[in-house]
Parts: sequence; structure tokens; C-alpha cells
Amino acid sequence: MSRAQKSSRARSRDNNEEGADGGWGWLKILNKRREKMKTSGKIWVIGMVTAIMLLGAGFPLTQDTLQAAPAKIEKPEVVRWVVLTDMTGPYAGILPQNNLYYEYAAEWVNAHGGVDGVPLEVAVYDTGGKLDRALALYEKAKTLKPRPLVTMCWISGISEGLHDLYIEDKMCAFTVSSDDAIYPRGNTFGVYPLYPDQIGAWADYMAKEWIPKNWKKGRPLKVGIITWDTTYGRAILHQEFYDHIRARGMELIEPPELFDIRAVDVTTQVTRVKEKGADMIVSNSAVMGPAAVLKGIQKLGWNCPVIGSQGFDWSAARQVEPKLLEGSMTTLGHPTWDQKDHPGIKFLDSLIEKKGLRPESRTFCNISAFSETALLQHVMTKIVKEKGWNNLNSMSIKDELFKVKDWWDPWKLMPWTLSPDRMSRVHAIVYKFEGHKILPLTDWVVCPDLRKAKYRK
Amino acid sequence: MYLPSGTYNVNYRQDMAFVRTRFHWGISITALVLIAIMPLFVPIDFITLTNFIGITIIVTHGLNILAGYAGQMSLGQSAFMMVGAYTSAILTRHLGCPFLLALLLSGLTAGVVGLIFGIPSLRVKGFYLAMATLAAQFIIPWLVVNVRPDITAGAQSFRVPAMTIGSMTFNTQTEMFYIIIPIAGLMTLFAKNLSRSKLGRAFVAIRDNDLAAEVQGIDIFRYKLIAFFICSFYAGVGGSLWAHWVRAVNSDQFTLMHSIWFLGIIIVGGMGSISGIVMGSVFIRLLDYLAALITPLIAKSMPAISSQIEASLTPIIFGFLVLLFVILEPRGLYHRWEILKAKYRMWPYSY
Repeated sequence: MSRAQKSSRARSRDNNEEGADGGWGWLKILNKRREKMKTSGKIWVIGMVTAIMLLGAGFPLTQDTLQAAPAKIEKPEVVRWVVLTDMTGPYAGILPQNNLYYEYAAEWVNAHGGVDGVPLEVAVYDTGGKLDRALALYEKAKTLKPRPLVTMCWISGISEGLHDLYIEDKMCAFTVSSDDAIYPRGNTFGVYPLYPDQIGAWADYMAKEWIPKNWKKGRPLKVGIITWDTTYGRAILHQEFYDHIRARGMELIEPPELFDIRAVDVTTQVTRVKEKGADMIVSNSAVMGPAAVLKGIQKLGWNCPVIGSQGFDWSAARQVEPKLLEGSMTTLGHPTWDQKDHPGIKFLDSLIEKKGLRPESRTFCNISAFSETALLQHVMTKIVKEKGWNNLNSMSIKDELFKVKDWWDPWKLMPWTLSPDRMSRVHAIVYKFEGHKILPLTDWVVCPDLRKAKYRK
Repeated sequence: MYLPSGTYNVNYRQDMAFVRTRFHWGISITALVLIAIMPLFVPIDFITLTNFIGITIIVTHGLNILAGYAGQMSLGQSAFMMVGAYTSAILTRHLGCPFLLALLLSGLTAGVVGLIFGIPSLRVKGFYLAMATLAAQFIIPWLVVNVRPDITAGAQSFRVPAMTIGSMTFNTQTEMFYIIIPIAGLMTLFAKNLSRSKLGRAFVAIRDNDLAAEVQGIDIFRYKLIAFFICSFYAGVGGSLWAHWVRAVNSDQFTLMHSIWFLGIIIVGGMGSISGIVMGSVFIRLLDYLAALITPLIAKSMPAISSQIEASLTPIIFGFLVLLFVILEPRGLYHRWEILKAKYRMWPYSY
């Protein structure tokens, strides 16, 4: 192709784009019209999409407003509550077959009258320990018909996230023992004493009984802290807790050591507290947490008892050699599986055998499942009998829970005392690990109130 | 660029257009309308998942601009997200700042923090830069938890108010959907445009050969820092939305594991591709969701398996599927999508 031809073709192309060539005038007009049509078409489309989005945004508002209106309930076919558990995430070790325990508890309750003859149904959802999934499942639960009246969540971090939603949704809720999941006072109740309260009860026992009898070193007992670096583990790291330990004559090693929830080797942290002369180590952790600390102690050829709270039961203890547990202590809000003569444990053991449940499902959470279900039956039945079905709702359940004082479930598993001021349970037992068993050191004791100062108002 | 038979670009405007044909317009409008009315026919838990996907898309777009376009490695995306989340939480809760302003400021704050951690990129690259950004993942959470716990709630969850625009409060998942998804759409559009701009081309030049880029007159350090800023800006905006979405933030939500997963998402989706990031985010989050749905069914059908195995099933299924995917399609979902499109255009001919 010659240079002239190329230049002519280029000119033609330029003219085509600019539409200046007379021979291509019709194309220019057509293009302009097309552009105009496209512009007006785009405006029309954008307008339509905006209108639809606005309508869409308005619809749920209306729908929610309608849902929020108090519906008149006659005698329903079923009364429902929801459990957000973690059977496949980091807390799976303390919640094995948790869904089955709640279902069997509901089965028992319904066989014993339900709520004034109406079955109490439980919907158990597995969150995998993830907040995003828990949010999705909680939203799903709210759409169930009839709407659930109570929500239980087993993960502290998730419960803290749901705290405000429960208030907005007027949902009564149960949670575990993190004070930030319960306070500032909303609709959430703790099914165990708060973690600092539990370890505070251990400190009381130490000051009253163990130290006078066993501590002969002529100096204060030194306590180190190696705890989970999660909302669960850090729940004990505040001034009120530290002051209580010191007030009981023990010396606290600072700063506290933290470790990851999935960590299996915490030798570094154990070495640091060992160097600072710790005599005992407090660890607010569960599942593999206490085991990791104990294994760290073993690796250093050291002999140091570990002090735990709710999460340090058999679900954690079975992860280590029995001899490593000797001398360690824990505080639990229920009897242990080793108390074979306890009526509640007898009942649960027979259930495990009858239903073919797995041996490792003997955890504190599954004990609690029965006690919670029985409490709800008691509270709901009371409301229905005193105020009628029309007044059975989340808020009336919350008000009734405030009045629960020294109430025991039928199996004597857990005593319940709740109040508008202290919205978590207050009773616990201090236990020791001895001869591959978890045995009680005390009777039921009232845990000290070690809430953060800001939550006392 | 391949165009469908009979489709020609006759001016620059057409050449730059996202939507080229009537068919494309039809699909785009239908998709927009379907997304807009999605809450009317989709279960609420799926809307929550969609919101989560929207936030993931925003955060991974940022990482894609840094890693996919500019070729810089970062393992601190989750920490930058944390900066955005806490900035937004502090501004809205303590100072009563409007949500949209807080959203913007969160992005800017995270961007500035990202700039600081991007400074080592002048001297180091690859794994060494990854290690430098890893520092962000340790330093930022520590600062948030320990420096001013009276402001950040320290180790505990920091409660965040609901999203509000004017007198409207967006506190249900459906309402938040109409905030999160449009923002995700806008951020996607911005990322797409950025990749076609002078800045985007400079990023690609640096990624492909930084020496050659410098010889061409590109100020490498400046552009690398800009990439870090944009990456962290996206993370900050994502973090702000996350904070108002979950309504309570704490350091457990922004771990190294999250940063690694963001990196995983852009690898699965296709590094250096905007559509791939959207596909990767949707794929990984859906996979995670489906794995969680399948696990209890497997556990129920096989009650004899121990709780440890049951607990491991979700990550095993999830990990196995990702592994299969990376072996079979290492160039990401975007590449597979391109192949499918090319096949469809050529059909029934093989060329």
C-alpha cells in the first residue's frame, strides 16, 4: 500500500469519526440520533433502577414495622427458642452434639407438660464460631413462625456483637460469661457467673482455706496469668479482678500473657511467668487452651497448677495426660461428670447410654442445655398461668427472669438467681483435679461481684 | 480485546465503554433490577451473606489493586480494615459524626496508615515486603487494644451505632443491603476505571518490571505508595461498613488469618482482574457457607465420628475444594470465565 493510499484511508477514518465528510453525513445524523436515544435511554434506566431500589428499601421498613407491632397470641401450636452454637469452629470441643442435647431437653420438657401443654421447640444453628454467620442465622431465626422468644448464644464474641441487636429486636437472650456480652444492661442474661467472678470465688477459697492450710513459704503466693487473646480470655483482665486477687493476699504477676485461640505451644509465655516466680497460673480459656498451658509447663519440666474457669472441665482436661492435671483447680457453675451420685449426672449418663451419645459430649455446655430448657419451661409456664398467653413474649420472659431466685432445675444441676442488677448467675463450686477426677472443694458458693466499675451503675 | 462478531468500536467512547451491546445493556439492567429487588424474594440469611460478600468485595478490590496491579505483597489488609472499623466506630459513637462522613474518613485514615507501612516497599519486595506488612497485623491490633482502651474499649468489643443517613436509620440486614451493595458497586466501578487510567497502567508497568518502569519515567516509589494508599483506603471503607454491619468490633475480627484469606480470594478469583475479584469473593464466601451447611448433615448421617473430626469437617471440605480449584484452574475464576465466553462466541466452530 502506497503512502498516499494510507494517508487517504487515515483521513477517511478521521472524517468518519468526526462526521465531517459529506459522503458520510447520513451516518453522522444516525450516530447523533443513536447517541441521543442512548442518553435518554440511560436516564430512563437509571431512573427506573433508583425507583425500584427506593421501593425495595421502603418495603422492608414497612415489613419490619409491621413485624414489630405486638401480635395478639392466642394459644399457639408451638413455643420456640433459638440456640446459636458452635459445633464446627474453635469452640466445637466444648459443644459436641450440642444440638442433640437441646433437642432431648425439649423432648423431656414436652413430655412433662411443655408450656401449659404447648410444646417448647428449639432451633439449634451452628455458627462455626463466626460472627458473620451468626448474624445471618440470627436474622433467619427471627423470620421463623412463630417468632422465637429467646435466643441463646454460646460464643462470647458473638454475644457481644448481638447485644445491641437483642435490644433493638426486643429479644430476650442467654449468653455465657463475658460481662461485655451482658452489660450495659440489655436483654441478655449469663447462664454462668462471669469469668472474673468464677476465678474470684477460687481466690476466696484460697484465702479462706487453701493458703492457711498449705502455703508455708512465708511470702505471698504468686499468681501468673496466661489467657486466651480473645474476648473470652481477656474477660478477666481488668482492675476489679486484679484488686480482688491482691485483696485475698496473693501477688499478681503483671503483665498478663496472652496466646492465640488455636495455639498449641505456649512455652514462651509459660517461660516468662516462670521466670517471674509464679506459683500458680490462671488461664481463662477452654478446649485446647488449658491443655496448651499444661503442656508448656510439662515441656519446661516444671510443676505448676493451672487455675481455670468454666471452660476448664473434662472437655479441656481430656486433652492432656492425667498426671499433669494433679493439683490444678477450676470453678464451675454445675456439678461435674465425676459426681456419679448426683441426680442430674445420673440422669444425663443414662440419657447418653440410652441415646447412644458420644462419651466426649460430657461437657459443661451440654449440662447447661438441660437446665436452661427447664428454666424456660418454668418461666414461660408461670407467665402463661399468671398473665395468659397474650402476655407471653420476650420482654415478659425477661421481666420474669429478673424474679428468679434460688431456682433449681428438676435435676438439681444449676441454681439460678438473676436480678435486674446482676444479670448473670451467681453460684458456683470450686473443684480440684485429683486421681483423674474433678472433685468439689467447696459446696455451692456465691461468687464475688467483679464486674467492671462502669457496669455497676 | 475480543469483540463479538458484528460489534465494532468506531470511536473512543465506544472503545472505553463498559457496556457495549444491547444484549449487554439488557443483562446489566436485568442484573441491577434483580439485585435491587433481591430482598423481596431471597431469605434473610442470604441477604446477610450478600452484605458480607459486598464488604469482602470492597476489601479484596483494594488488595487486588496493590497485589494484582502494582505487584506489591501485603499481609496486613485485615489490620488496615481494623483501622477503618475503629475510626468509624470512634467517629460515630464518640463524636456523633454522620455515617457517610465517617465512612470517607475511615478510608482516608486507613489509607494514611497504609502509606506508613508501604514505605519499606521502596527497598524491599516480594516475601520481604510481605514480612514488613505483616508487622501491621501485629502493631495495629496491639495499639488499638492497649494505647487508649478508654476510647477503643481495649480488649473488649466496641459497640458501634447503626448506619444513619439524615433521619433514616439502617439497622436491619435488608436496610443495610441498600447501603453496602451500592457502595460495593461504586468501589468496583472505581477500581475498574482506575485499572484503565494512567495510574493503573503505571501500576502494571511496575508490577511487570519495575526497572523498566523507572527507565520509562515512572516514579516507582510514588506510585507504590499510591497503591498502598488506595489498597488501605478500600480496606478502611470495608472496615467501616463491617463495623456498622456487625455493630460491635473487637480485635478478634481482624486477624492474620483474615488477611491470608483475602489474599486467597484474589488468587482464586484471578489476580489483576476486577471481575475475578467479585467472582472470587462470591465463590469463597458461598463455599464457606455451603461447607457449614453440609457439615452438620454429614455429622448427623455418621454419628459415630468424633467431635474433633466433626469440627474439622468444615475446614477440610473448604480446604479440599480450594485445593482442587487451585490445581485445576490456577489462573483463577476470571480466566475460566474468559474461556467460557470465548467458547460461546466461537460456537459451533472451534476457532
